[in-house]
Amino acid sequence: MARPGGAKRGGGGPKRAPSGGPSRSCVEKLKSLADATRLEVLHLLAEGAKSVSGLQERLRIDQSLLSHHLAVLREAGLVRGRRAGKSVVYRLAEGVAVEGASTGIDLGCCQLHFVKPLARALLLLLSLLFTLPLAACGGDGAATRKLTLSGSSTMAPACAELGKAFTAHHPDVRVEVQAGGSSRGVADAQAGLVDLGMASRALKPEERAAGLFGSTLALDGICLIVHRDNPVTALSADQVVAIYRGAVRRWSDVGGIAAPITVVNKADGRSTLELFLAHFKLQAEAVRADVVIGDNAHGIKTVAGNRAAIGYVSIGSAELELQHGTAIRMVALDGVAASRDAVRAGRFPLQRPLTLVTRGEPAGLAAEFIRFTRSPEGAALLEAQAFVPLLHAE
Amino acid sequence: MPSDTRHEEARSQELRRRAARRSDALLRGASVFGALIAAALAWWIAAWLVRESAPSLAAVGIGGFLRDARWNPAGGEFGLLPMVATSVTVAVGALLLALPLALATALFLLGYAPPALGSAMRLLLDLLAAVPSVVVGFFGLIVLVPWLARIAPPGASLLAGILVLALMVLPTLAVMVEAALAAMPAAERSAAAALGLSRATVLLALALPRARRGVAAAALVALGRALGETMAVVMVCGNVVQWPAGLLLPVRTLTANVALEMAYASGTHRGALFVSGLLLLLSTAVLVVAAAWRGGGAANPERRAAGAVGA
Repeated sequence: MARPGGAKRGGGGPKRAPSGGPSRSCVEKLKSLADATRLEVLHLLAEGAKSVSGLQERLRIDQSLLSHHLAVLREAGLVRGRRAGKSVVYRLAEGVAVEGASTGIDLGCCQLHFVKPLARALLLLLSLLFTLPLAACGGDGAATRKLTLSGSSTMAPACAELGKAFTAHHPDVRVEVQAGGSSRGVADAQAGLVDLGMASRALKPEERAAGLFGSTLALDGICLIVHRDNPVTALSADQVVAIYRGAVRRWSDVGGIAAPITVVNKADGRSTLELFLAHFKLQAEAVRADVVIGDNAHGIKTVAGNRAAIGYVSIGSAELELQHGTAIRMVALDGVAASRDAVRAGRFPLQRPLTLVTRGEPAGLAAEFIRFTRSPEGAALLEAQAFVPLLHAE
Repeated sequence: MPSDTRHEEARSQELRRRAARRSDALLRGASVFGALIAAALAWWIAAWLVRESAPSLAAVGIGGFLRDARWNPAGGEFGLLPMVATSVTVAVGALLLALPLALATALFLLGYAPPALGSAMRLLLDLLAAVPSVVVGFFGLIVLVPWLARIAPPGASLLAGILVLALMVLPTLAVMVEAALAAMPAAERSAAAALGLSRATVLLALALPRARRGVAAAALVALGRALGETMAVVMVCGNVVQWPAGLLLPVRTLTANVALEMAYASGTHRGALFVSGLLLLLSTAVLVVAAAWRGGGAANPERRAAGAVGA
C-alpha cells in the first residue's frame, strides 16, 4: 500500500515492477483516476491546496462521498491531507504537481495536463471583441489628418456640421470643434494650439498686426430677445441702454406687462458681449445684470424660462431655436425687424462677420476647409444654421 | 519511514513560510508604492496651484484680493470675497437642507422600511447619486429656475443653487448616515430588544448618539463636494458677482467664476483664477483636517483600531 508522500518520481513503493515499463503503482494511480469526480478533484488541487469544504463547494457533492474519493486518492499517494484548525486542507502530494504549471500532474511514468477549454474559448472571444473595433478605427493604416477649431460658441455648432460634411468628402480627415468663447479662439490660433480659431467678430487692428488673418465664414447679427408672452416687439437703442443700465426697471415703462425686468447679460470674454457694449456705447461696469450666462444656448433657455427676461443672442441661434418652437421672440431694433434677411441686406444695425482666424494666410487643410465653407454645399449648411453665408451676402 | 515523513513535513512548512514572507514583501511594496503615488499627487497639485498663483499674489497682494470691492479683471479689480461668501453660503445651505432629509431617510431605511421597499429605496438613492452633475444642472435650468422665476424673479439665484446642490449631496449623505447608524453592535441591539425598548428609542437614544462621529464625517464630505461643484451652479445661480445677501439674489461661486473665465483669461487675470482655486483647495483641506480632528474619515480612531490587519 503506497504511503502518503511516497509517490515520488521513480520513488520507491512496494509494488514496483522489476522491468523499466510502467510501474504497477503507476497503473494503480491511473486506476484511481478513472473516475470523473476524482479527476476533477485533482484538477482543482493542481491549482492549489484546498480545504475539504472548499472542494465540496466547487464540486457540489455530499461530504461523505467526497471523503471517500479523497481517501482513494490519498491511498494512491496522489494527495495529502493536513489538519489546519477545524478543517482539513488537501494538496497534491510531493512530486505529483508539475513545477511551473498549475494544471499538470506527474505520475512518475507519465504526466497529465488539464486543458481549460472554457477559459481558452472565452479568451479568444474577448480578444476578438477588442481587436475588431480597433481594426475599424485604424482605417487600413492610413494616417488620419486632424483639423482642430476652437472659439466662439455661436459658431461652434455650424462648424461642427461643416466638419462632418467635410469628413464625408475627405474620409481621412477628422474635424474637432471646441467652444470656449471668441477670445479663446483668437488666443488659441495665436498660440498655434488649433488650426482655426472661431471668432464671432472682425479681427481687431492689434490682432492683425500680430500676424493673425481672418477669413469670413458668414454674416450674423445680434438681436435682443424676450419671452414669447411678452407683448413688447420693438425697442429703441435708448430704451435698451436704459434697461441694461438699470435706469428702467419695469416692463410697463416700455410698453410691456407690469413686471420687473430680468436683465440677462453675457459673461466676459464673449465677443457677443463686446460688440453689444460697443454698439450701445455701454461700459461693462455700467451694466446692471440679473443673470450672467455663458453661451447662446444658456441665454436662450434662460429667456425662454422667464416671462420677464430680456437678453441678446446671435440672430442665427435665435432663428434656429424659433424653428424648434422655443418660447422666445426677437425684438426689432431701431425700427428694423431682426431677421436673417435684414442681415443679408445689410440693414440690421448690429451685424458682425463670423471669422475663421489663422496665423498668417490659411494653408493646407485649413485652406481646404475654408474653401469648402464657401462652396454651395457649405453655403447650404450655413443657411440651415440660420447664418448668411458669404456666397449669399449682398 | 516515519522520520522521512516528519522531515518532509518540516521542509514543506519551511517552503510555505518562505512563500508567505515573499508574498508579504510583495504586497507591502505594492501598497507602499500606491500610497506614495496618491500622496505625491496631492502634493503635486497643491504645489502647482501655488506656483501658478504666485505671480498674481505678488502683483495684487493678498490684501488686494480681500479688499477690492469688485471683481472686474479688465479694470484691475480682483475682489474675491463676495464669491468666497457665495461658495460657502451655497454649500452650507445645501448641507442644512440635505442633512435632515438624509437622516430621515436613513432612519426610515433602518427602522421602518419593509425589506423589499428598503432595497428599492436604496437602489433609487444609488441612481440619484449616479446622475451626473451637469444633468442635475440642466434639470435645474430647465425646470427649477423657470418655476422660481414665476414666484420670484429672476429665478436663477442662491436658492436655486442651494436646492440643486442639496439634491446632489442627499443620496451620498443618506447612504453614509445609514452606514453610521447601522454600526450599532449586535450585543447592544439584542440587549435593547431584550429590554423591550421601542424602535424609536433604540434609533434615537442609542444608535444616533453613537453615530455622531460618522454623521459628522459624512456631513464634512458632503460639504467638500458642495464646495467643489461647478457645472450645476453655473447653470442655476445667475452668475452675478455680488454678496449673497438674500436667497433670491443671483450670485456667483468661485467655481463658476473659474469655469466662465478660465478659457480666455490671461496674465494676472488667469493667475487670479488660480488664486481662487488655491482658496478652494485650502478650504477643503481645512474641512478634511476638521473631519479628522473630530474623528471621522481615514483618521478615525475606531477605523485605525479595526484596521490593523495581521498585526
